Amino acid sequence: MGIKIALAGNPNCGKTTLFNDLTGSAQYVGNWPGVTVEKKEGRLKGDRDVVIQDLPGIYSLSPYTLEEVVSRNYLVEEKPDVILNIVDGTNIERNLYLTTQLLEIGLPVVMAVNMMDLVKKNGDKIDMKKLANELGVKIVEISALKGQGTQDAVKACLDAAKTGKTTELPHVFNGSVEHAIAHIEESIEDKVDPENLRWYAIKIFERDEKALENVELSDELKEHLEGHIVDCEKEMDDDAESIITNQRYNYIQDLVSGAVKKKAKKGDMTISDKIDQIVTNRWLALPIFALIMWAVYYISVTTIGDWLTGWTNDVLFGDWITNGVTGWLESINCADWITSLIVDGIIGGVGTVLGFVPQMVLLFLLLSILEDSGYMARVAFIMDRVFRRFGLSGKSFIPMLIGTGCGVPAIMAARTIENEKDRRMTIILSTFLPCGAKTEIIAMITLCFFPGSKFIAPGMYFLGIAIVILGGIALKKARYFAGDPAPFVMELPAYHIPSVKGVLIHTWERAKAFMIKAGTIIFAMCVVLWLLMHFNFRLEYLGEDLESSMLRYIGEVFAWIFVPLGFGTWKGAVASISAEIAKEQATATLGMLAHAASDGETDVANAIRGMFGSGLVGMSFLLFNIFDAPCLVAIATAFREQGSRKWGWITLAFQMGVGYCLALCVYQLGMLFTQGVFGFWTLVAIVICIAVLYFVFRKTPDYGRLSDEPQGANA
Amino acid sequence: MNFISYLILAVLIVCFVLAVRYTRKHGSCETCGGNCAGCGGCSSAADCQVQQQKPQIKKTEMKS
Repeated sequence: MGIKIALAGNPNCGKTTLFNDLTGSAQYVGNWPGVTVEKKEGRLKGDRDVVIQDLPGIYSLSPYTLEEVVSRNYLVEEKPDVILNIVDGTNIERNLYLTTQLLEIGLPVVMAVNMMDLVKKNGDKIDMKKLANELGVKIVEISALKGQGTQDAVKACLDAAKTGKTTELPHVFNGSVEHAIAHIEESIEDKVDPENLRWYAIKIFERDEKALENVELSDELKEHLEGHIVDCEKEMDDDAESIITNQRYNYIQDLVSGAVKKKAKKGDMTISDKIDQIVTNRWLALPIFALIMWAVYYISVTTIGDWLTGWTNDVLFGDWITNGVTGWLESINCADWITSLIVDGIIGGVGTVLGFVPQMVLLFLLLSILEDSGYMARVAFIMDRVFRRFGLSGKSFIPMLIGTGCGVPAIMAARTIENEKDRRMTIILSTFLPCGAKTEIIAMITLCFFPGSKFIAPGMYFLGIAIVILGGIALKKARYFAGDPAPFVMELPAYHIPSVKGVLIHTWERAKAFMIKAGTIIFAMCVVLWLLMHFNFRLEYLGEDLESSMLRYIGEVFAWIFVPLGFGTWKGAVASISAEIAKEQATATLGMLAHAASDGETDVANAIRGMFGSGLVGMSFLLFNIFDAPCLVAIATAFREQGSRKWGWITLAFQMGVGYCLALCVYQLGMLFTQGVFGFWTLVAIVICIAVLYFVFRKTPDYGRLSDEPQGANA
Repeated sequence: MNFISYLILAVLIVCFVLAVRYTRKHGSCETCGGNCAGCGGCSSAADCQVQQQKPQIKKTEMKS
């Protein structure tokens, strides 16, 4: 029979790094708290009978956020065979708070003190023997990042699971508190599992409603126990939950003072502190952030990335593969339409998407370095200052950071936000920062219309942030979202030089996903679009005559929607609508149309320029496709995470509205200023601009006294 | 159409069917690069379906 090991610990203590090391998985590891929001299962390398559960990081077993609920429910209700408690050795005092709670659950616990390499490097000493004796658990020293000691930790877990012995509980509580808990234990011992007795007793003392739901207590008994709790509260002059918290910290303080010796004196500044004095400085933080992100996008999209992509697009796919495949198909007398399907459809579409892989790889590599070094966690802290002024919390920026990779995990990451209003707003806004797939559209439009531009790609990132801020301000003034932002407390990880292995794995995983997508959904879409593009409704092959194709007629049904945006042609409509399946599809569709339109002398970029006519139309197309709703999967995730159809539709409408209005205003006002064209839609654009300014700058209406208390999703 | 054209067409149809089947089974996994909760471990196809996380927190249990 299999053994289940649950990895539990504080956020950002290295659980997922250990999980990846033990299972050989490549789960996303971020150097900030709250990356894992759902439990993940894997099997131990070398022993498939051992199942390892990676749980979201939690500070305590009192669930305040959704991911804390996931961890607690799993540990208490599903009961793994053993808990492997990962403790950050550089911050042991805070981590032990959870450890004392895990011990009370009544399951075998093994403690793995992680980041021991850093502890030793800092010159700190931890007396493991003393800690183990005091806590009554087996302790193993590990460095999950370097894979040191991890097998010892697994062996200790397997031994603990096989013996099934629970640990002797440390004496965390004393005096009347211990007396009251012992009394509760006596009263409920026939109502809960014996191993969970202590845990339930403490939770009942804390008046934890979730735990109380699981224990059937008569009203009489409830009243009796409440009497004991109230007596204790009177004696200690505090509320029950605070009493438990204080006694836990007192116990941990005593324990740590005897077992941990820190080399640095209190108040000494670490290297991270010194870097933070500059990087998170009140005045310098934002310019440094802007400079770094500008450099990331400039390098990956405009300079080195552009050279690499130029080669893959023009030489690899544009010349070698296209001409090689065409020549081979012609030499074997392959049917013309199959040659066109392969060359114009598959190579033209999938090849265009793959052509931008070098830029994506470079972008992912640079972002991974920033994440792994610990800088991106600071960005959330820096943005908290900005966001707070507008009623949002820095916690909302963490999903947006994740969103630069993909919108789906970004939306999921909003689960870490306990305030329902802020969570809903974060889901609405989190996909405005361009994801990897959207970056490809940016790269393509930059390449076609603004080659060598230093500002288009970074500009789209900063425009995304601006939309988040302006959207946040406008939404916060609506009745539903009104209220102060929730406090944001975030533990900043120490800076460190990113591990080459970690960064490369992270980059490879993202790039691999990108390529798999090109070979599956983009491939399938390209085949379907090619068929629609080259056949009429009588299913006759049209050759290069796209104007009689089914796709043209389908595109024209929707083309009117995009007329005010400047690309109201069937080609622009098809490219924009197909992008809703997957954002890369916009580039694939444009690539296919360009291939079909090119006469062999015109290159793809020229053909796309010809399709849109001017840079202004290209920019309008770019803005719409970057800032409208994300892809279908992300939309479905937003519906699910919003928890209601109504809020799903609100999210979709807001995102579509932003993309459409932005593209409309830029195109119409651009036409007004560059060519003096003034029409009905120019007027609409001006009205939209005035409306946006009104909603952003209007005084927050007085909605009466609003509760600042966060609300649950069901509240 | 000659024999080789039919052969290439057959290969394309197989590739298309495989691409559609793969997308149906792993669509969301690959979209997020294996980062989202539904991709957790991905040891079986069932894991690829993101489980609905019913918000369970009541007002009284939350702390600001």
